[in-house]
Amino acid sequence: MTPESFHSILLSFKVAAVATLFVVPLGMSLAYLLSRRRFRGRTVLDVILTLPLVLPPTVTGYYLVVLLGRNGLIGRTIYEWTGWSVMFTAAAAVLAAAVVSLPLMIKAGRAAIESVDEELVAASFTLGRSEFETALRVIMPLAGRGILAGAVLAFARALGEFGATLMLAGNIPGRTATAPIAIFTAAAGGDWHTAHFMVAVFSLISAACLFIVNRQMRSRENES
Amino acid sequence: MKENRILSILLMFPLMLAIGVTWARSAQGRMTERILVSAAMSLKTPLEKIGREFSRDYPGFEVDFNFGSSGSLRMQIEGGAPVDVFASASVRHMNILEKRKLIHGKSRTDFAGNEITLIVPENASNTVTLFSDLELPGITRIAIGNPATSPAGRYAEETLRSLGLWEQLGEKLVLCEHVRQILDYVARGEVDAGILYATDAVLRKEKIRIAAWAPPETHGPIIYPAAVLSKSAESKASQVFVKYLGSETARGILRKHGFVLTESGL
Repeated sequence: MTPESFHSILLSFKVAAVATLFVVPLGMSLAYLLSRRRFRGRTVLDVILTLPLVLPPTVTGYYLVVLLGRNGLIGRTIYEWTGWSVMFTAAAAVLAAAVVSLPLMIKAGRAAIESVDEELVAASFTLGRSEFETALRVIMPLAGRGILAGAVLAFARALGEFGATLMLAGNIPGRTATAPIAIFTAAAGGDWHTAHFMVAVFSLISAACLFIVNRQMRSRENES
Repeated sequence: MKENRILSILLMFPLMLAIGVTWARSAQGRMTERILVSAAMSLKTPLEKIGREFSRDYPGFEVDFNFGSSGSLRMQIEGGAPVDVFASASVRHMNILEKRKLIHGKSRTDFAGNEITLIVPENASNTVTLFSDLELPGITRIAIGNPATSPAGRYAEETLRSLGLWEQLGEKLVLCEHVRQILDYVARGEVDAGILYATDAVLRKEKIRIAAWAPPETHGPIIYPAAVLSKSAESKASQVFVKYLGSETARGILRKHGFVLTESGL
């Protein structure tokens, strides 16, 4: 395996892990807001957050470039203040993966929160727990399995992210090219040997990860 | 026990982050001028070789590449991507950037060209040797790029039109979104013939046969322009690299990968 293939596979797992790390708390907070609060603009927020699930990832990536590029609406301000731009960095790959996998986390999180027994929540309030405490110590633990399922979904989606990442992080071999992008590039260049080999290694590691998570989930189920 | 497991999973993330940061740091060199070249995907293999030769001939200059379709590379540049040089597979995208003053006009140069070929499966029973053979009743499916979305398709349409074949072949044409798709269909024998770039045709020499080359006058010139971006106009390495694309070394590598060289003489 070339150092570049190795780098891209490692990068993919790092990017997916870091993205999931951000997506789980953020996604669960948003899921809580969307399922237990009624506020103005709730439907609009819901639609905007679901959009990356529906849009072709390349389009999502294009929007991200328009927003965060050095000439972008937000990116320009950041660049003027700090001299740093997110485009073509590993952080861009994390951001793209997070944006695309966030809706999955929110959907799974909402389903989990909404399945929590309302009487238990009421009991917690009756016993004098604040809403924050109730959310953290009653609702989240009871929704635990749903959260884990959402995290696995988000991680898997982040791992396979292609379109948005290609736009925002670019395809710089050895720097920002993640495994899916490196595999595509190898195949497009007629380098079937590298492409096949990377697909095999990437699939194997991904399958192993999902297998371990599934086993963990089952053993948690048995414990509880 | 349960807490331990959760804790250990939580601890793994910062650890991975730390490994990542160290990794990124160690990969950075400091003594050299490093430039980023956004290049069309079809140029990947030859350009990477040229990049290695370039760093060997000019110690102190290093090149990284960012590969993509010329259209999305252009959008990245418009969005403010930190790119120094753009090597495009299409004159159109380069023209748009030039009009917006995003490239340094003086540095612009055409460094390679391409040809349109007719390919058939290696073990095909048909005896296609000319574009006009596509009219034979034995040929029922022909893969070409979608003229509406892909440059390769546009060139294929131009070729067939100027050979007076476009109208007759209408029903046989299978429109593909990616050159790779044409190549795969032909290699697997899903279609009887395909029309694409010569440089893509040579990628699967063992599975396909080049039946014919389209005469150059039957389609618009296929040209690969390169230029330094305006914001990198002062970058020595970028200027030298674009010039290097016309060097004997670079031309030799491009030729070997099936690119024809433009007459401008560079």
